[in-house]
Formats: sequence, structure tokens, C-alpha cells
Amino acid sequence: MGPTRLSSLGLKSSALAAALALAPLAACAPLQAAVALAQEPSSDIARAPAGAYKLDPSHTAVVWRVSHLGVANYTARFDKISGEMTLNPTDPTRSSLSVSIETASVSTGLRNDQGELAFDKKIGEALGAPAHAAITLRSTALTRTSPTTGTITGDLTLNGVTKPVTLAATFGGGRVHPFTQKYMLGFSATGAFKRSDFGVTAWAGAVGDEVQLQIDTELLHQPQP
Amino acid sequence: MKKLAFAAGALALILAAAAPSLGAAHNHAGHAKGKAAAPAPITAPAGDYVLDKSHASLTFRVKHLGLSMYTARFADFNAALTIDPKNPAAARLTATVNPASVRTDYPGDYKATHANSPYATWDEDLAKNPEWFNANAHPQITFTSTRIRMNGARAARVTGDLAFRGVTVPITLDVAFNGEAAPPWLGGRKAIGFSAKGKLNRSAFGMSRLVPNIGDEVELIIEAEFWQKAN
Repeated sequence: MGPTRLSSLGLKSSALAAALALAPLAACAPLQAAVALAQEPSSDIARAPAGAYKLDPSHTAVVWRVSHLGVANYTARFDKISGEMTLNPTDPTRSSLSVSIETASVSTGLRNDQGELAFDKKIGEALGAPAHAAITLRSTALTRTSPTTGTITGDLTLNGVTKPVTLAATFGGGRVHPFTQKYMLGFSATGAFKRSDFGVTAWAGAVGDEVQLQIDTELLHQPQP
Repeated sequence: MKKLAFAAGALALILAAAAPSLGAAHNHAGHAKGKAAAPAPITAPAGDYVLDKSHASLTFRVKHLGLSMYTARFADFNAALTIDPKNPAAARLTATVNPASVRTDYPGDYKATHANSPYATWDEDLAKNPEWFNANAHPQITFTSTRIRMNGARAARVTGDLAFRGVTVPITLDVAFNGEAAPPWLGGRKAIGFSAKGKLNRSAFGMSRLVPNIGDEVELIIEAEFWQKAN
């Protein structure tokens, strides 16, 4: 289910007509009309304002899976994530992205018999915590494969080792946030890497080498004051 | 590594309950993505299987403001499977989910932004709010399979009755059999694993709160390891 497209002229003009009809009632008529149009999700990234965006941690999930015994895809996530993007809406491949994840924020959601989230800590340590407190990704090359899809290649630093990884990204759309009035963007991304490339070899044998990533995020525009 | 192998038997028993464990047998049958090799025949015996709760997850995603997929999960759920791997279409699957165990891992200060909410956390709001999961009135979500249609030897469409918020509606899951293993801590019993995906419209269960800002369609992503039940 994709975001609503504003591609048809008919839709656009009826929205405009509706906004104009309401305009005399509104205190700030031109602004209201602009907002009425902009609040429709748009899958055209060229409509997004250029510049700095900040990742919204309340609407971000970095979920990962590794195979257990070759039978189950063990699933967990990270809870503390921050990130920034600089968007070039006319040529998104000239944008840049930087994300930082707190290594120890591994969250399996599973409690042990003592009611503790003990295994979260063990996985965090296997990923390098506390010595390597952050897992970071800095984009180095972006490509566009369709109006709403592309690839993000970046340097992933995990367990103190930096190697390139590539994610397949999908632009979910942009709109003015109905409450904050900030322009917001939605993205999903998937990818995979070998944890052994980063020296993360704990439980090898029982736990697969390939780590699958499923990332869902929103980014909020940070207008310059 | 020798030391580890030596300790594996004892450690495995301790760790198996909570964690992926050391020294396990390895079986990537059916998991080697992109490889064309025919999957090995399934040798797991017919009978009852119980969920290995430490290696199972129930994740859901729902569209937020038409742009992004909001992702959360349940921490407390269980499932039971009766299956003859030679006749999987006759299998029976039941599952229960504690709606109060919903976990969003919401990182913000819920009370600061929801001063008038009677709930302490976003998870509690989702769990107990009568317009959300209404867990006080309906403390259990259940799924009972009613029909399994095979799609090849290792994939199936599993239809069943989902009871949620006091409403029962059939849903269908696309299930893939990932493989089997015989880890040492199971003492000869088999472990089998599945991945499943499905969709439902939450409005069908009377939960239309904040549609369409929070989408009606909910994606389910289930990963589950089952252990052959001990006699």
C-alpha cells in the first residue's frame, strides 16, 4: 500500500478548490491553503524542502535478524538511535546521511527466568559494548533506482571495525507533519551483512553469520532559524 | 574452541532456555538464500511441538501518517503445533498472545507529551485503552488454524480464526518452513523453524482509532522455533 499520489491534476485542483473555498474563513488564508495542499503525502521527493533533517526516534525501528540453528530467524532491535540527513531534493543522490546507534541498546524483549533482560546485555557485549559504544553508518554513495527507491552505500562501523554496506531504500513519502508543521519524510530500508566481517563471532555455529536489517524511519525537517 | 565444545553440553542446558547457545548442531537446510540446491527431506517426526519462546518473535508494522511503517512487537505469546511433516496440510496450530505485552520501545517521555493520559506509558496506553487493545476486557488474543493449503513442500497458506478485542475474524498467514535441527540440548528431539507473514485490517476487529493517520492495515511478521515436545 503506497502513499497517496498527487499525480492527477484533477485531484490537485479539487484540493486547491477546497482550500480556496475555505480560505475566507481562515485567519491566515494563504498559509491554510498551502498547508492543505502540503499535508497530502507526496511520493515526489522534489517537493521536500532542502537541508537538514533529523531522525525521529519515536518513529524509527532498527530491527535485525540472525538465523538460529538454521531454523529460526532470531529477531531483536536497537532502542537508542539518532541520525541526521542533508537532503538535496532535486538530486537526492547528492544527499548525505549519518546514523548512530547505542550498541548497548540491544532489545530482545525477552526476559530470563529471573525476569531480567539479561541476554540484551550479552548481545550488546558481543557487538563490542562497552568499548565500542556506538554503531555508526555514514553514507558514501547514494543511487536512485526509481522515483521512490534507491541504494544507500555507507561505512558501517561496528565493534570498532569499519566496512562498507549497502542498503536498499524505499521513500515512503513526504508531507507537513499535522502537529509539528515540520516537513517530514518516511523511509524503509533493508540490507544484510556478515557479522564476521566486523569481528562479531559470538555463538558461531548456532547463530548464522548473516545479519538481516529491517529499518523503518521518519525524518523531520530542521528549518534554519 | 575445544574448551567450548567440552563445556557445551552443560552450558547448552543452561543457555538454551534464554539464548542462542554455544556448540549447537548446524543445519542450514532451507535457509541458504539464493541457492538452488534441493532442500533436504524433512526428518522431524510427527507429533506435538512447543514454541521455543526464546527464539520466537511477533512483530507488527502499521503505516504512520501515510509515510513510514511503525514497528512494534509482543513480548509474551505462546503457540502449539501438531504436525506430521509428511502431511503438513493436516497440521494444527494454536497461538495465544498477551495484548498487555505489547512493546513499542518508545524512547520518548510519554507523560511529558500526554499529560492528560490515564496511562503511565505508551505501551500501557496501547495495551489497556479500550480504543486500542482493550486488554483488561479481553486479556488474550488467540489464533486457531482452520485450513492449511500447501504451496510446495516448504510453504503454506495457513488460515485461522483470530480472536482479538472480542471479535473473531479469519486471517491468512503465508508460512515458510525454514528447516530443522537436532541441537544437543534437546537430547535427540528436533527443532523446526518457520517464518510467517500476514495482514489484517484492524477495523475488522472494531479498532479504528486514528485511522487513517495510523493505517488500518497491520502487517504481521512472525519468526518461530518449535521444539518437539518431550514425552
